[in-house]
Amino acid sequence: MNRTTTAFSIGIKEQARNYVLVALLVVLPVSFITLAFAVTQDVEMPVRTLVDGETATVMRGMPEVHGVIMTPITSALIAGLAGLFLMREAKDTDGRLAVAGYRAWQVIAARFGVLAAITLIVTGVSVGVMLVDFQPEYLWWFVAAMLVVSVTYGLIGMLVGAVFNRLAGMWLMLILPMLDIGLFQDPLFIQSEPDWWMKLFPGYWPVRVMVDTGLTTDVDTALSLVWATGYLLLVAVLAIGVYYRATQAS
Amino acid sequence: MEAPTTSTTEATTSEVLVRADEIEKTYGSNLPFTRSVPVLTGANLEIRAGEIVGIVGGNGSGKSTLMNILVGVLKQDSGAVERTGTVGWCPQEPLLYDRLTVTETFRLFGSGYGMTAEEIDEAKRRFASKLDFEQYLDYRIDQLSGGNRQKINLSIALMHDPDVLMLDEPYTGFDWETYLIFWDLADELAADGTAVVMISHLIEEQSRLDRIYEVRDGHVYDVTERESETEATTGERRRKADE
Repeated sequence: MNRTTTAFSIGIKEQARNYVLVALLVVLPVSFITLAFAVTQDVEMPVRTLVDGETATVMRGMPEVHGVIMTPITSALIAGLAGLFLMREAKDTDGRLAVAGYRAWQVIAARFGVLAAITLIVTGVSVGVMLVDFQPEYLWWFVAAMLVVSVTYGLIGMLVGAVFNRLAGMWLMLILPMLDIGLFQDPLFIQSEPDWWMKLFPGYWPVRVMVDTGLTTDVDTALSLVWATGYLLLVAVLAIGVYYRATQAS
Repeated sequence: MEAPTTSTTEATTSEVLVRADEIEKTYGSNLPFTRSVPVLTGANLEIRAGEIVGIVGGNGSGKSTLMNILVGVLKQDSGAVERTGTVGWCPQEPLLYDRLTVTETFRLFGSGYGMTAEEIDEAKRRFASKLDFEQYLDYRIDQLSGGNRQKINLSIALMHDPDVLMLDEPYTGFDWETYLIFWDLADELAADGTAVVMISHLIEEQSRLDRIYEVRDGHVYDVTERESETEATTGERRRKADE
């Protein structure tokens, strides 16, 4: 087994023993997504989305809209905290791996691989819990947007972990997805097109895709998924740079 | 200020394994109205194969900063560090992954050192037996006492038989028996040609050291000879007093 594979497999074991993360994975999807469907009043609400490339309002059941929003919030929140924990631990100890002979790219590949694996599981669990109550019109488009927003938040968690301590970082990563996805991008709250500064948040492009492919019968947001992926790549480059700086000789 | 350089080559003969030349390091901040703290302002030293070298100095004098630069986990602002051969580093705070078992910790670091699974297993058993932590091999690091954690910290630095061993107060938390075993181990390693460098606070240890460097006012002073001179001077003074 080479260094990267060893560090990856041991990293997965380490995260599996992170009981806070495991508890979040078990408790949050049920308490956020299932409860959202259960307690939301079943009334039709106007929802902003794209129809034939134009912003339009369609009437949809409030539980479905709420479900479409709570699922990425859950996933982004857990992935963000996982990224935060990874970075906090890496900052303290990964420098010793470099002294032991690990190349920077080997540690980076292992750590980002662990984050990717966690994000896959988190996305899978969140979507799985959602599917009990709600079936998106285009499941795989919806899942793709979910993956993009979750990975983006996982990487943002790493960036936050490089700057803030564990407690401050946890608060930030609890609040950020709530504000971004749950308020600024929620079509129930923001009925018209969001202000320019709301579009700068990581949830803007993926949530457009999720609302469109979850609640309407046409896919009008393929380009939004491309923008969301571009945003993700930008954050990934930043996170790799920050991780490298945080764990190498400074 | 000259650009800092660091080089690492293979160890060949019993010669200088680590050389630091005019090392400078200032801890600063990019924020306005914050203070920069110069720690090292031109530190020089040499570490030779088979020596046990002590680095002493007051609190905040820059001992750990110097060691971190010698190891390569901290970059100097200017000056050069030349390292020959492999390095083992035992930091003051055990830098280990809390949720890994002792066996997994050996596997992770052994893989970094380029050791085979058999070599890792052999090293693990050797140090577990010598430092008496055989019964904890399947324990997680966060389930170990401070002393046992420090034993793992030390073993990880030693497991690949490095040419240079850098130890930052390695015996913190050791009981007396383990402390004595540690010194036997250090003597054995030095006899085999390993350069052992340790940060030490204890005066009584200084008789065990071949060379003592004192970090003071940003510089490094070889105080070994001065100690001998002081001893000679003291002996002379006593002889005169006896006469």
